[in-house]
Amino acid sequence: MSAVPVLEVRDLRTRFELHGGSLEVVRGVDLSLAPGEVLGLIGESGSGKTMTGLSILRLLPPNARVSSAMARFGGQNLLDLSEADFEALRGRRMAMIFQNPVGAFNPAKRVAWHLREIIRRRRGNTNGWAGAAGAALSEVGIPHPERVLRLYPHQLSGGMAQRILIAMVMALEPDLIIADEPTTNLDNIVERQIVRLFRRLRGRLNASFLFITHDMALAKILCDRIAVMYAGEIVEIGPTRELFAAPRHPYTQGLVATAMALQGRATRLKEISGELPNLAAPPPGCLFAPRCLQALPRCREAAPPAYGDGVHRVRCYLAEGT
Amino acid sequence: MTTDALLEIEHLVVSFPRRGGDWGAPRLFNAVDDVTLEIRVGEVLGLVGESGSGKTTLAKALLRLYRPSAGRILFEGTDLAPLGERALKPYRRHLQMVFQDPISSFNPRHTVAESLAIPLRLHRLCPKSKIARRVDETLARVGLSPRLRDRFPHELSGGQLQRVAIGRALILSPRLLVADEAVSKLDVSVRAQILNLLKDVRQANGLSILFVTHDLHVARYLCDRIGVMYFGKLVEIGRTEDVLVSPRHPYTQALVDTLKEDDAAIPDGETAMAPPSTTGCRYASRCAHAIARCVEAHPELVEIADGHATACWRWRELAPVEPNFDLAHER
Repeated sequence: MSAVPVLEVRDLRTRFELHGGSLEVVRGVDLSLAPGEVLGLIGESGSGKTMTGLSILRLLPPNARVSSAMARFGGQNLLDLSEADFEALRGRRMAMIFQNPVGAFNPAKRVAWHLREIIRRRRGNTNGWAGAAGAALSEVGIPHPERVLRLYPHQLSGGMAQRILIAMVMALEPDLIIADEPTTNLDNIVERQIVRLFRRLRGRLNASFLFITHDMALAKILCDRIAVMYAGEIVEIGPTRELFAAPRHPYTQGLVATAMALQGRATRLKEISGELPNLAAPPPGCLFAPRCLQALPRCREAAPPAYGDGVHRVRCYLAEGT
Repeated sequence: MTTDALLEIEHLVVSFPRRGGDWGAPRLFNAVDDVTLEIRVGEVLGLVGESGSGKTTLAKALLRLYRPSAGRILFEGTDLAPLGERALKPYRRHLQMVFQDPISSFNPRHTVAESLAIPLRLHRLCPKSKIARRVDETLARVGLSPRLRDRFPHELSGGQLQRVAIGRALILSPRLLVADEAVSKLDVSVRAQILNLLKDVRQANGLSILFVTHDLHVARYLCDRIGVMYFGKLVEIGRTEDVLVSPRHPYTQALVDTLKEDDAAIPDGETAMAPPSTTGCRYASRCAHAIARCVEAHPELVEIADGHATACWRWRELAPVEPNFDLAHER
């Protein structure tokens, strides 16, 4: 990437202190987002994808310990930032869209109040907020904005609530948007409408986008690059087209095969046998080795480093020397 | 109707009191509204629709977990709809269910073996001395090691528990398995395992499966036929290939378009604000093709080709311009 990244994180680690031990759920993640780029963060539940997003935004519970070798946002070193300074960035230049859109609203306040607060945060005042709020709602495809502004969150459908949140994010004009499974609770048609909305707005927003999802098919439609997480690590990262055409990590290969089979004509789905490892007692070596059909003896001894170039990287011995 | 129907549902209505009705006058809301369909021996019938479309209510009503307000549920010639609990019991073993959330569908204080043995004891289907063997056989059948028999639900993963849930349903050798969003809470890599398992048990046993899902991708993979529900009405039903290649109802067409990567065909805008029409077609308020007639009267389900039926006044005019041949599934 030639442009200065909007976000750059090196060796991000997140650990939870629990009774009788600790659990490392993010295990050395490197991420970099170019301006305007959409990066998909793919993984199953428990893979650490949500924790990665929450760690970047410092939204974790008190028993979490986050460390990283480097964390830069728009040229600013996040590691030096106090909680108060970080607070000024979050919800202004960094925004998050959550899975449960209705729950992201204050249930006692109308839609109008939420948009007014966003506009206050963006501009420092609320002059002419009603016009701006109406325009933002129209832009995300909401009919009769003046009526919707008077509604309370519980009166919104999931799809409408998610559209309004997107309108709020647009009114905020942040540099980084982290969206965590923003369409998972929505019906198929509404899901595709929201994805198309993201695609249409990305040019206008001029923001970088970290799109967290378990859905390979959606990521394929929306993302420029995809990072595949497994058990707290990014096992493969690369351009979307390349990752689908020639996945190199056996786990990515399994995910792509399953997604393509559900898209296409397979009469039997390829399975990834077994289940995620217990991170309280991780197996030695590669964390995927116990489920991997191509595992070599050395895979069970030492964890593989990342192979590949600056564009496509894979944590797997099978990719060695490439 | 063909003769190989296992279960025939005729004009089924399931209604609930609606909240927010006028004082003193409880109003009823038909979650399932005059649905007629059959489940054939040995088939997988998919029931798709958005949340609130009545697909789960229909599934639960035909297992008689709800009492229908009207209509018939014919199982091998007997109408289950009016039966009381005692009269239903002999039929219960033939109609089993797997729920969406595996964790909450188990008693946390029962081991796997106990959970599997309870249905056998309730239905007195197996002498006590042979229960342990049946439990182990069932575990093997759903791909689990007999070593898991003494584990508690919280000690198993979601995928393992869903296998136990399928085993608990199969241990009674039922005729029909109702799977309600049985894979939607599972991880992607485990989902494929469970879908393959459902495919296997059905092939090995000639079992019929009613597979309720909001995910058309999954329905396409597993189902022989697909029924599409919208606001309590069955709006289209047919062989999976027919429904996907030439969907006739505008709602089905919109749903099928979500299978395509190109999103040009996805309908625009937020239309959920418009309440569904009560007199006419439920979809009319969202439908781009609605005419005056659509709001006035609800279209009946009509057979438009062999086994392919749709409930749309304009089905003749709204045939897809380009049939989606690439969406057809090789079987």
